[in-house]
Amino acid sequence: MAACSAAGPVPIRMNEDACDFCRMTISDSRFGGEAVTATGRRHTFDSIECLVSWSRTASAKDTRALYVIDTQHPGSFVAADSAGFLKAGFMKSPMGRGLVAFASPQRAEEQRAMLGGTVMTWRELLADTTQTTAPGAP
Amino acid sequence: MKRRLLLAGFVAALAAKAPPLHAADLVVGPHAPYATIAQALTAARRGDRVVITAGLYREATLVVRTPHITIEGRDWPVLDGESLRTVLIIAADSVTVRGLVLEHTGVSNLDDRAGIRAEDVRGCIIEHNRLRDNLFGIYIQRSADCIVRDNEVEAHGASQTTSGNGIHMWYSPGTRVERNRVSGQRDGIYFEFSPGGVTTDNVSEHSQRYGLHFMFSDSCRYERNVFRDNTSGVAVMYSRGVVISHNRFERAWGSGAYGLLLKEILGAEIRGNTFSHNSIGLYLEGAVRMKVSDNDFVQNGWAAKVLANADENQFTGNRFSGNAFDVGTNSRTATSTFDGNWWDAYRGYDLNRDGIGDVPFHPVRLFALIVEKHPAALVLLRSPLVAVLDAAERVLPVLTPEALVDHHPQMRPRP
Repeated sequence: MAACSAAGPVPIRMNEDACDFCRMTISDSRFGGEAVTATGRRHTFDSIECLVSWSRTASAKDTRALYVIDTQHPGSFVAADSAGFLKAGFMKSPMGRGLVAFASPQRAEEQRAMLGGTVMTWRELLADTTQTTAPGAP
Repeated sequence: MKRRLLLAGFVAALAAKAPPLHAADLVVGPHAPYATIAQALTAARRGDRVVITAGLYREATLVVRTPHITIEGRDWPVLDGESLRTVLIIAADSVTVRGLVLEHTGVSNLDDRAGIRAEDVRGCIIEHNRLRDNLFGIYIQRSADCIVRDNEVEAHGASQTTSGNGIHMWYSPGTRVERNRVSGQRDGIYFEFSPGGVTTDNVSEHSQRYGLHFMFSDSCRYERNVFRDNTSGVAVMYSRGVVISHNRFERAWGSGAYGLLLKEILGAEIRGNTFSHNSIGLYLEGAVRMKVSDNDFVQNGWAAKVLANADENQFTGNRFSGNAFDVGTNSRTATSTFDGNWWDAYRGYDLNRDGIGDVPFHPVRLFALIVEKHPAALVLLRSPLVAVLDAAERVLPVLTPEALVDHHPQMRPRP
């Protein structure tokens, strides 16, 4: 495991690492995120949806850092706080809510101008209770 | 006489209204009336049949816009995407596509390229096609009541990191997926937001992730399919009212691999299936009111894992043999019940010869609880210490979950 690594995210291993919220094996490098706890334990997620849902659970209370995949650079992370998010139904994210992350809110805004959808920050995502991973249409 | 006239009129009216069967055959080929498939598709009228003769066709993405037509290959014509594009899009209702080879969509991060994509249509039939080396094989998107049957879908061998799914349903209710063979894709068959589907008699194997995967798809049936050698097994999530019967879940080995993973499922029937040679045969997390009956659990690491949040599940008439552990759990207060199953690990007796063991069986070994907390302890599986622990626990079951008891263990496996 990567538990003993220094600060910072560790790359997600496609088709090997599982999502710590929905249990799915992670297979799409355009989506996902990672949480590092105070003790250095690493949690991987297949989607922004699952990272948000997990961040609301008790397991997340000693989180030191949260990272999300920059969808324009599959496999590479940015800090969740500085990322920009786009919510758009046509984005086929692993949990189906159409949530993707970009390196910055500006980048997300550029995409929104072309494709549509709604730009959000990490704080807004956490506050928006409709974002949870749950059955039903988005 | 009057009546006959009336009847004739009625028939004439019907004939005028219904689409004529095979109004015309539009033949495509090097020496045929149509040189390209695109020309024939443009010329086709409702009811026509576009017949594509053998050959290699490299055309821009083909879009079928005329309803009620059939596109049929004769002697397996090959439609090549040249690693650049989706090959064929169905964009009209009641279109049938059969007998084609569709290959080489190439990989893209931006669009989900597919051999055949159905978009916003009803009643398409996709049958007897061969899909090779495509990102997605068959992609049914926002379409209703389509049938996908007797197709062969085979992924490209090289790039493991970027692969799409074999047969993919997205917001497509009532899809029937029958007798297909899917191999080497990311997920073999995937239903997302697609309720009311029927999936029968398929073989899905060597998937990079799941043989079958569905999420947010209520009231679906999965019967007589074979899922084997899929990297992570089969995963079924966030759905209600599902029937899973007479399937085979085989050889899902590794951490995070499950014969059948059930997560947040409400009220499913899991009946007559075989779970063999999996790390974990059946995994229940947040799965409530499952009826698990008449299944065979053979030579798995764990036959079944029932987590604390999996409530009111009933295991009856199942057969457990050759598993390292029959049942695992992370809770001492499970509300799932086991009754009338056959366990090869049962050491009890039957003095009144009614076929039911006279002493109850505790399927959760004490050692399984230890392993649940300390996975590294698994190396002691065959040690004498663990054998002593098991024997002590059989005599005096104080630590294993009290609810997880089979009071009617069968002396013989029920046929």
